[in-house]
Amino acid sequence: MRNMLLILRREYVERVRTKSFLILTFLVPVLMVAMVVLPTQMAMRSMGGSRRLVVATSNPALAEAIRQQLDAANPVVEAGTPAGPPRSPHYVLTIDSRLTEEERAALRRQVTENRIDGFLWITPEALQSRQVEYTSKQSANLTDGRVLELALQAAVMRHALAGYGVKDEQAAELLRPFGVKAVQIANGKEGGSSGVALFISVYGMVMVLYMAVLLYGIAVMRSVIEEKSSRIVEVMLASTTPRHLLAGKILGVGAVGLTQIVIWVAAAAALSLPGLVAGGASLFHLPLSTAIAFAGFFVLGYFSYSALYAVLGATVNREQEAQQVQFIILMPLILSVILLQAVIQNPSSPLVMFARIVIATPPLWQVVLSVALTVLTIYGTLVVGARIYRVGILMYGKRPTLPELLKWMKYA
Amino acid sequence: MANTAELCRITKRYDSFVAVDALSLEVPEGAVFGLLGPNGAGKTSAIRMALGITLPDEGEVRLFGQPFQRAHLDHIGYLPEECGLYRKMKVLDHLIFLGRLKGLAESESRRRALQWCERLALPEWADKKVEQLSKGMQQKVQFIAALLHEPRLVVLDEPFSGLDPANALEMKNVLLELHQQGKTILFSTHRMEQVERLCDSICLINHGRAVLAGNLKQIKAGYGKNSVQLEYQGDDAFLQNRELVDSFNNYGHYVEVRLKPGADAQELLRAAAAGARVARFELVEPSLEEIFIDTVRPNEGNSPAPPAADAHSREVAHA
Repeated sequence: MRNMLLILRREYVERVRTKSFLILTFLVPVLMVAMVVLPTQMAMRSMGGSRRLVVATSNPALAEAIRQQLDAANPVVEAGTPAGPPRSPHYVLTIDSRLTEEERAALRRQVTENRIDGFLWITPEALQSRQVEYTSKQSANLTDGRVLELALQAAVMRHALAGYGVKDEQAAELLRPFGVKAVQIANGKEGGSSGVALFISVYGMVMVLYMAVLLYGIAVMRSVIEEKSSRIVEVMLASTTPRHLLAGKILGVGAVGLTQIVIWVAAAAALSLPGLVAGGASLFHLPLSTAIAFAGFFVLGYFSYSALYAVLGATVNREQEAQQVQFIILMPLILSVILLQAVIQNPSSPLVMFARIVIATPPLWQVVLSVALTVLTIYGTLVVGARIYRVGILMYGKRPTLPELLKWMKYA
Repeated sequence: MANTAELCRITKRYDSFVAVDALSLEVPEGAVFGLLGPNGAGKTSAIRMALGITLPDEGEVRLFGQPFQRAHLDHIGYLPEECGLYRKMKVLDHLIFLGRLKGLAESESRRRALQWCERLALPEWADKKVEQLSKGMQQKVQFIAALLHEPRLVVLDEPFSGLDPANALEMKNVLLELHQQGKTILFSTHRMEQVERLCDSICLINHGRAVLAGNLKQIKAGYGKNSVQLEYQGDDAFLQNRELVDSFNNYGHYVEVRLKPGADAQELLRAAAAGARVARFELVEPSLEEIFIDTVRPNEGNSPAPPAADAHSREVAHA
C-alpha cells in the first residue's frame, strides 16, 4: 500500500510538473473563452452595420411594406439608449420600379462594384411562384437570406390583408413574430438552456471526455513502455509487486487527468456564470450535476481504458508497435463518438450515458445499470490486465499472439 | 555459517522451454558469490526468481534463512543488467524515490542520497535530469540506488558491462568495502577475470542447470596444477603434441596449455625449448576461463535437443 502510494505520487508529481501538462491545462480554458467571445464578437460585427439594398418591383406598395417590415425587425436605435445585441443588420432600401433586363444588368454591376450590397428582383411571376431572387456578393450569408425571407413573407401577407380590408395595425398585430424557447425538464425542475447551446455544450463535453480518456489512456501505455524499455521495471519489481506498480501508475496518471478535468470544468463553470463574458451564458451551460457527471464519467472511462492500455504497453517493445494494435482498443471509443450524433438527436438510445444524462435525464436505474456495468468491466480488465501485465513487462522480443497471451495468464 | 540466499531446485518454464531447470545454489553469508554462465544460460531468470520478480514454477527460494517473503526485499539491493532509470526524473528525486520504496523515510533517503552523490563525484549532477547524464553516470546513479538502503544482500547482474576502467575500479572498491562490512554480494557475469579476482564462491550454470558449484579455491584445486602458462618466441609446433596437450589457448607469444591427465610438464618444456625460446614457463591452476570453457563445452554435446528457435530467442531476451 505504501509502495503504491509512493508510485502514485511519483507519477502525479512528475507529470504535473511537465510543461506540456501546464500548457494543455491552461490552453483549454483560453480556447473556451475564445469559443465564447469570438463567435459573439463576429456575430455582432455581421449583425451590426447597414446594408444598401435595392428592391426592384413594379408594386410600390409591396416595396413599402418590405421596408416597414425590415425596419420593424430592427428599429433604429436612438442615441443614448442602451442597445442589446442587434438582431439583424440595418437595411437601407432603394425602390426601383423598372423591371427590364438592362436594369437588372445595371444592378448586377452595382453589386460587383460594391455600390450596393444586393438587390431583390420581384417580378409578378416571381410573386406568383413565391420564388424571389436575391443577388449579392455573399450568397452564403444566411442571416440576410433568413431576414429577407421573413420580411418578404410578412410584406406579401400584409399587402394582401390590406387588400381584404384589414386595418394596418390589425395586420401588424397578426404578423408579430413568434419565438420558440427550448425548456428542458431535469428531475422535475426546469432548466433554461436553449437547444443549440445544449447541443454545443454536450458535443463539446463529450469530445473533451473522449480526448481526455484517450490522452490519459495513452499516457499510461507510454509510461508502461518507457518502464519496460528502460528496464527500470526490474528495479521497481525488486521493491514492489506488479499489482502495486500497475495500480499506482493508473491511479497516478488518472489523478493527473482528474486535476486537469476539474480545472477545465471550473473554467467552464466560471464562463457559464451570467454576466462574466458578454453572450457567454447562452453558450456555456453547466449545472453542477453535469459537472459531477462529467468528472465521474471521466473516471469511469479512464479506468476502463487505462488497464487495456497498460496491457497493450506491456505486450509491445516500442511505441510504434503499439500504434498498430491500438486501433482495437479505440474501436468502442470511436463508435460511441460516431453514435453521439444519433444520441443527441434522439436521446432514448441506450449508448453514451453521459450525453444522455445531460440531454435527456434517463431513469435512475439506467444510469445505475450503466455505471455498474462499467465498474464490472473495469474490474474484469484490471484482473485480466494485471495478470498479462506482470508477465509482459519482463518479456522482450517478439510480440505475443493471442494464444500466448492466454498462456501468460496461467504463469505462476 | 547461515546462507543468505538459497535456491532449492527452482524451475522456470516458458511454454515448452525450460529457462531454469531444478537449480539449487547456496550463497553463504558474507560471501562474494559469482553466478556464471554463457549468454542465455538462465542467469537473469534465476536472479529474478531469487528476488521475487518472477515466481518459480517449482522449488523454493529462501532468504536470510526464511522462506521468501516480500519484506525481505527491503534488505536487498538490486542492480539489473541494463541501466534502468526514469529518464525524465531528476537524479536526487529519483534516488529518494527508490530509497523510499525500500522503506526509508524521505529525509533519511535524501541524506543518504546526497552523501553517496558526494562520494561518487556526482553532487553537481544531483539536480540534473537522468537523461542528461552519460551512460557511466547513469550506472553510478543506479549503483547508488541499489545501496541506498544499506542492504544485507546486494545482487548485481553483469555489473561491470559498459563501465569505463575508472568507473569499474570505483565500483569494485565499493563492492570490496561492502564485503569488508560483512554484506553478502551475489553477481552474475560471463566475464571470468572479474570473478576470479572478486569471488570466493561460484556457481556455473548452463542450460538452466548448475554444472559446477562451490568454493572457488577448492574448485581450482580440484583441477590440480595441470595447466601451463608459457611465454615463447618462435615455433609453436609443440602445441600439436597430442600426447601432452589436451587443449590450449594461444595468444601468439603467450599460451595457456591444459595438459593431458598424467602428462609430464617437463616434457612439454623440452618440446617447447626444442623449437622456440621460452621466456617464462609456469605450472598453475587452470584459470576460471579455462574451467568455464571446459565445463560448458562438453555439456553442449550431451545436452538434450537444442532449443527451438522461438524459445531460444526468448531466452536470449531473458538473459
